[in-house]
Amino acid sequence: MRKFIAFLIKRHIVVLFLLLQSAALLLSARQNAYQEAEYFSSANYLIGSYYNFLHNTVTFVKLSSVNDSLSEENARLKTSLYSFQRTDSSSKNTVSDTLNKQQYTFTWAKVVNSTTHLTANYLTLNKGSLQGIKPRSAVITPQGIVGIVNQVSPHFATVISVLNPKFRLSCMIEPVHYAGVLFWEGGNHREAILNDVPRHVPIKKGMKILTSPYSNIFPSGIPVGFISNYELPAGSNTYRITVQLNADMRNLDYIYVVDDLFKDERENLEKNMTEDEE
Amino acid sequence: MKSDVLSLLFRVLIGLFFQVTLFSRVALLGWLSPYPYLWVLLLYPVQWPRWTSLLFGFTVGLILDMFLNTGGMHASACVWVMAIRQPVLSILVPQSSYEEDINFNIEDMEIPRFATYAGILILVHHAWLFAIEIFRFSKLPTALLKSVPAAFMTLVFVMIFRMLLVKSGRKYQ
Repeated sequence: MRKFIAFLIKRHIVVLFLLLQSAALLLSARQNAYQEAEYFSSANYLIGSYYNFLHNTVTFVKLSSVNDSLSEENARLKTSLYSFQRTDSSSKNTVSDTLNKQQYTFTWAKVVNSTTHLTANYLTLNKGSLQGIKPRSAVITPQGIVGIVNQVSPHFATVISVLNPKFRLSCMIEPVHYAGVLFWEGGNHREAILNDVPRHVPIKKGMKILTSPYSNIFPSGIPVGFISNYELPAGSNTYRITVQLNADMRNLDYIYVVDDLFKDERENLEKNMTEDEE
Repeated sequence: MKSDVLSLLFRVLIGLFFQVTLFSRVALLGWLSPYPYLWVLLLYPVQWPRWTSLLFGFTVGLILDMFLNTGGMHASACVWVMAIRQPVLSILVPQSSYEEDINFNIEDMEIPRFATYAGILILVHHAWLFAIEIFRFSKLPTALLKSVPAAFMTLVFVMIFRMLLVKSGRKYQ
């Protein structure tokens, strides 16, 4: 034992090096899990506040363009509202609200930090559990999808961006209604890949990509992008489709966090099903 | 000693501030982002015990990790830098002038020698960082290839930092 301690003291640099190195690598590995290591990320209150401050200073310059996009969205929402009213009055049906249960809640938040150039990208939002943000909610903009909420602290939340190898989402091609899996391969921040679409599906450049009903995080029918290119790899039965993403991840400001109120019910049901099979 | 600690803390604040606010937000050509905060690690006094330098590297790296949501990747790369610092120094600087001379200071190294010292450590840091960031053997060559231009850019910024923030009135050999 004494020899061992003497050895440790003699080699204390190597021992300390190995200790710190394994602690660091363990932390990097844990980062990949949901809802862990909140204190070691920008969901931490201090770091979130700093990013918030920085964001407030920087975005002051961007205010006019943000206003433009907000009023544009307002206009669109108003249009849809009026078109609904017209249908209601012409058909003369009374719509009972008790029939339609609300499935999704929308919460707006601001992006206070984001990266697009790393291999795995994250965003930080300025709202957290106190404002009702929950892990595994969808994050969208009026243009398209942004990511999935990862960690939540009382005032902040981090988001796994579309530009992250951990992000995978079932999406469908608009007029033909075939679903595939969307993911990002790195590189260009405007392009993602859609796989698993069988070769017999008639696809064309420019077809729209929407979120599919198969996802239990994203509502279906949210715009994602459009087909900018596709190829059929030799010997493969499925296309490899390049999707041009609608949302510019470099220029995000206001986003919506969408929470599915029926998510738990659906997940429990689907979980039971897989358990029965086993 | 006390003023050394204060100037070290000051450097850490300045280095991390610029890293988080500026350098980690730019990406030249879409992916090239420099890490000039390494300047803080490079100037850690050599006379202080080696184990403190390892802990120092780990702490600085971990703070940056918290800001960038990278878990412990930067901490890991910084511990590497601090571990190989002494061997690199002892090759570049004749033994007598740094282990015996208590006045030896890295800030006093002449520019070409400092650049070599910084260049080697920065390259090791970037290669390790990019490799664990990708974490896939198939893409390892790309990661190592990327680290060369990124390391060069970091080195340029480190040299600029050094010129701007070096104490005035020091003699250069």
